[in-house]
Amino acid sequence: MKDLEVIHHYLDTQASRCFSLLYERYSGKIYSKCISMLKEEALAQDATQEIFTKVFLNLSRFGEKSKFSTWVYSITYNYCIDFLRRKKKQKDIFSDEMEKAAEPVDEGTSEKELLEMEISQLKMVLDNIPAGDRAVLLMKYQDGMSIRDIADILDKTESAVKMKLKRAKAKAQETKKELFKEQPI
Amino acid sequence: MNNFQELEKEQARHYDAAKRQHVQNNLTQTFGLFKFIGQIVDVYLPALVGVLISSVGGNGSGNTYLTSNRTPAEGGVHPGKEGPHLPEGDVPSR
Repeated sequence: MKDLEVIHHYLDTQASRCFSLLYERYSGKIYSKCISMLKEEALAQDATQEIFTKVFLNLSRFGEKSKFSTWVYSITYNYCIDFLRRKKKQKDIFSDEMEKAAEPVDEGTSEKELLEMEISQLKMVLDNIPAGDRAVLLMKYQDGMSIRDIADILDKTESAVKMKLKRAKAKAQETKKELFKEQPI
Repeated sequence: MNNFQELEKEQARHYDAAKRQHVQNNLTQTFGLFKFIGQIVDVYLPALVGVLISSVGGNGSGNTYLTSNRTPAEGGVHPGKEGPHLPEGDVPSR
């Protein structure tokens, strides 16, 4: 049964089976994104619960303009970004990072290196870069979102997202160099 | 599958059955509570509105409103070809 069929059936009948089905499909992925963004298991678990509550309370507002997964992930990232913003009492976790961001390097090379990192290295690199950079990298490479989708989620222009992505890749590359100095890149 | 997606898969594995069940139970309880509150509102809100209208001197029964929405077949009054009349002394503004 496809996501959309499950959603329509849930909206018509409120059947708990539909809820369980969507929960089974998405809870692991949502938890994974939450742990990547928030870095704490307990926080990620609470966040997963809050995000599912938001998803189901707003299910009737899902306009089917994007894939259901994109809509769910947008709620997930926005929840995590808001949480981190509140925690840091920072207005925009994306704005002041632009000043400090590393100089972009050759895009093709940085993308190749990023995608060739070992999983353990990638995890460490993601844990050590700013949350804004982490979010755009996850959206692009984990969720395969388009620049347009990322721009919509972050409420930025497409060119701002492209620049952010470029800087995030450079930052990741720089962080890898710092963390694994003995290993040539 | 690229390394980002493999990382996602690995992290999702840490979301074990116990955590999964715990969160699902909490969600079920939350939605059950919302449903219960919704039912309470459905049952008591119209009565509460009636009481409030009565307390400010209006007709709290709501019968006038219901009658005016009935079709002639249901016992309502047909407004005629011209539709309902304006209240006396009321001039439509242009």
